[in-house]
Amino acid sequence: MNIKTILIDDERKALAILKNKLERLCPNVDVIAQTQNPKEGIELIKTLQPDLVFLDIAMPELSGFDVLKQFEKPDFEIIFATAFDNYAIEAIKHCAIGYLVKPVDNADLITAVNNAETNIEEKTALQKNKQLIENLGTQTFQKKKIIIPSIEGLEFIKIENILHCEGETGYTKIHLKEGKPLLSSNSIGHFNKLLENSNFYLVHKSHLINLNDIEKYLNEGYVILSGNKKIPVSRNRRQEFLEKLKG
Amino acid sequence: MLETELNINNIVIILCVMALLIVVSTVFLFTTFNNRKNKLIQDQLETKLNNQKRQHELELNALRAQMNPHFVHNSLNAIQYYIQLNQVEKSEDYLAKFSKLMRQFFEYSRKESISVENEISLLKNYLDIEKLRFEDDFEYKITIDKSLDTEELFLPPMILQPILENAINHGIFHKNGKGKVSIEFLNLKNTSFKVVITDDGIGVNKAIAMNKAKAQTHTEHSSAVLEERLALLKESKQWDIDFTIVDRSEISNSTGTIVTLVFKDDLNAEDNEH
Repeated sequence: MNIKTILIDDERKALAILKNKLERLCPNVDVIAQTQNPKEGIELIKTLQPDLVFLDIAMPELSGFDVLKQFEKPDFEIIFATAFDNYAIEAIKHCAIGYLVKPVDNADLITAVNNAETNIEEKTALQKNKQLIENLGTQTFQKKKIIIPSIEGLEFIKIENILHCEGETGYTKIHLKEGKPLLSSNSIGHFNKLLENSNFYLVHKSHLINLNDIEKYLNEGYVILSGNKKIPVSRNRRQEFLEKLKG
Repeated sequence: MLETELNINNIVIILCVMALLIVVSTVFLFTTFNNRKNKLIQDQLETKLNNQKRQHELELNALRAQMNPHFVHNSLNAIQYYIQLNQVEKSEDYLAKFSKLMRQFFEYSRKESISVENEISLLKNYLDIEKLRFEDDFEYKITIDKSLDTEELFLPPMILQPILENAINHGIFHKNGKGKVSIEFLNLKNTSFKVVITDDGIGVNKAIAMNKAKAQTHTEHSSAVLEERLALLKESKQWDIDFTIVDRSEISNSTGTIVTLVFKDDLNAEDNEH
């Protein structure tokens, strides 16, 4: 499959580097246009209808997120690019959208393009992009939704509805306040990164809990979550955990 | 008649005195209580501030320990070397790895503690970059006790990396031929553990002598920073880490340096008393 692609980055050198890498490493990516001007980028996307857009986040006039917000039906796959590993990446991760950090690692680029190719076939871009736009407009962390890819498709879960996550070998069980637990092939470490700034805490190497739902802490090393769920707190994490609770 | 009036007068006086007493004692109790409460709050605030201050000091020290300009420039220099050789993929690879390591440095140095697992991942990234720089002249080996739960054991960030950097830049760099560094993570009683870093370089005694001759004392500087940090950590009562450094020529026929760190888990000892 040939992937019609547009590159948007305000830095000329970043565009050149990315184009060069794509030509060498991803022969199925067909760069049909590139621009340093985000406004021009919006027009290019509207007229050329690409499958994939590489979109820089930190641009002075219009950020990558602002570009996305200009579309009512953003049905193109996006791979965001940024030099900073900050809150922006967290927002992108919440919606299971692709991203790269600059300087771009070749192996990471190949993985991101492969993922994008699958997503284009499955046509999941519109849902994910819309969720990202919605999350960006939501101030409260726990009111945001995260997207968890499953075998059937995508699960959209409000963060406040997650009670805790349980790591198993090879997958993670996400326990919700209502309904059956979800299974994800991602590790508990992945969810810890995803949720650590949304008032979640890894109290044990295989237990990530929503701090909003703690009802009790037992000195013997357990927390009780709403619904009387007892979760162990590993000894070496207790001190830091208690300090975190005290704020 | 007169008697009852007197009685009433007396009762009124007694009541007034009682009321006054109650008011006075209430005010007294209230102020002492309030003072105590204020003092308690103030004390708590003070300890909190002190702790915060100490934490900042530790962070600063961690930052100082990580920002070794030598490493940054040596890495950039090595990238330039591959660029000159026109080895595009290798230069790109080196650059991306270097950038990832910097991200890890920034992320971890802000934390109070990181898991042994994360520390090992950082060390591997660091050593891979050094391997690119030395090419075939450098190899490393990391061994971890199977019984060691690397996800549940923690250590302060940026403790081991400067030691490895010393081993490479002052031990192995000055040696002719191949050099090797081995890092062993050993399980001790309870949740205490030991890290032994062994290199087959010129040895710490010679390295210090060489640096003195050059009037360039980075080795001394970085181990001074390390010892200062370990002392601060001990003071904070959250860590108890023993540090020893031995020149291998003093104890055997081989050359090189052995650095041993013992991470003692005092918290754990207290826990067991329950």
